Amino acid sequence: MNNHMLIRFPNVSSNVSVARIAAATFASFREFSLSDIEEIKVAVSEAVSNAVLHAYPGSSGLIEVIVENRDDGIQVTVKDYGKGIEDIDEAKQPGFTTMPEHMGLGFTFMESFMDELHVESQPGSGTTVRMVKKA
Amino acid sequence: MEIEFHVTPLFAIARVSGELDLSSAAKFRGLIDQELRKSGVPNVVVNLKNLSFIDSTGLGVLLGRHKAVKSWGGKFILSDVPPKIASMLEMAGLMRVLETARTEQDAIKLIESCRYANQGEASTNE
Repeated sequence: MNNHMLIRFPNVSSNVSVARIAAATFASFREFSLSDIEEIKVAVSEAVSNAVLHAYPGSSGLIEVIVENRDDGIQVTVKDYGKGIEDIDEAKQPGFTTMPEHMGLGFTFMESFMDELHVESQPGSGTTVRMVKKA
Repeated sequence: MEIEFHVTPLFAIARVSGELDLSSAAKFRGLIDQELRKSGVPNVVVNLKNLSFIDSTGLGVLLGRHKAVKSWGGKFILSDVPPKIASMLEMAGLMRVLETARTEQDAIKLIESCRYANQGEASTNE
């Protein structure tokens, strides 16, 4: 089934729930269990929260979420055009955070709940997080 | 996310409903802190029965309130934790850090037993 969805929104925190509900609704048309859908919601929430919190410090900018069907499931891409991540390996370490009262578990949850996680980032140009969930 | 409070002289119960994420974390923190400042009660039970979603930002704000309450010697107890929220707490390693109780009543018993234990200790020291 060739279907995809693109949503674009500014880095406003209320859009985190909009993005995860949209992705979960898209995924619900595939053969995912309810538990799979919950896992997709958490992973999308983590990726979009990271973009809202870190991509455009002190300014506004756009975030895109693309959800696509694959033969074996769905792919979710969360993209920003912000400051980028200097050291991706460090950012992915469990417990790594630059903000108080944050767990530093965003990438850990994305990795645990999805079947694939790919992070590409260029300092000054933005970050793309691509995740695959197999049905 | 909404919170309904029930406050007694010994504890506050915060019944949370909805979703706890980046968009609601600041509201959660503000409401709990405001209620504790206003009432002056030392202990908090956070009833999660109607919490439908949590992510790492939500877990962070729970841990933050736990640390705040612990800093003045109070108890911070989560009650009625739904299974999917419990598995998130487990994955984050928070089941070892945060105190949980099956029901609000169990949480209240824990707080009361702690108070009596402290009173006993005080009278022994006299």
